[in-house]
Amino acid sequence: MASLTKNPPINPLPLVTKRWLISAAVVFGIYNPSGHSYYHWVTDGSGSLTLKLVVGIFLLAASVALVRMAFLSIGYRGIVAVLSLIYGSILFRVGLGWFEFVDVDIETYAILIWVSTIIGVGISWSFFQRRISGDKYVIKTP
Amino acid sequence: MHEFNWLSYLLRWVASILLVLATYNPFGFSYWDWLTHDGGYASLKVLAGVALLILHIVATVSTTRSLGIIGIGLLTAFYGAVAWLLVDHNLLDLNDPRMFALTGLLILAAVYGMGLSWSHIRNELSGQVHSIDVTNLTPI
Repeated sequence: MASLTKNPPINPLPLVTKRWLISAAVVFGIYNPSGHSYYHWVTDGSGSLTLKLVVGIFLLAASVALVRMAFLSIGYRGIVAVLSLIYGSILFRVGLGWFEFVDVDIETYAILIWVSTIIGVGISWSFFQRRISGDKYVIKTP
Repeated sequence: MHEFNWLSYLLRWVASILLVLATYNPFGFSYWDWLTHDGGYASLKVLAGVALLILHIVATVSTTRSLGIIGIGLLTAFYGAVAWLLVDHNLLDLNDPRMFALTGLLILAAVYGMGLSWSHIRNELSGQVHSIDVTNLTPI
């Protein structure tokens, strides 16, 4: 059997966790409010300029690759779907009575987690699609 | 099923370095020097030249296909910045023309290595598959 037609079972939790951690590392590495991020390191003004350049180009290349892979897998509809799930989870927690809806305060951390969730789910999605329906996400090269 | 791991990437990288340096290197021990400085063996030179040309075409075409212009640009910028970092910390002396040529060749080999690996890495990471449409075959 050709390897393209193989459809082995997937292990969803480690699959998504690994990819979510990779995207979170890039997103939080570029910026986070704790003061330890690439953004703070660059605007700090001290240290080796060339090392900053190397890390900067690496982060740029990594984010371009991750965002493109995620976007090609889920597209605008997938982003809307993931955001709807996040919104739904907030409403669910309100419904459970954990907090009032007026108390919901969107912090920078929440937005960063949402962005990394969208990218992580986007990178993982084609494995689920392949397992469920056998469809592959194929990129036609020039 | 065979998985693409660090060793697979390393092998492709080493093979690219061997290919690029075998074709030309600034230390006088390469196909180019054999071609220009030594006489004779014309048939063997043609054979080796065609073999190297085929390998270069395979590497170039797969790099262009999998990485694309944007990927090649980003990767070259990254390796260039790494070279600059080494120069900045006095680990690399680009005033020596041989080291300058070697750095350029190693950057080319590193781009080849990533170009040969990126389809595998992308498949491992995101499950997406690169494909070649052989019904309307374009030159690259």
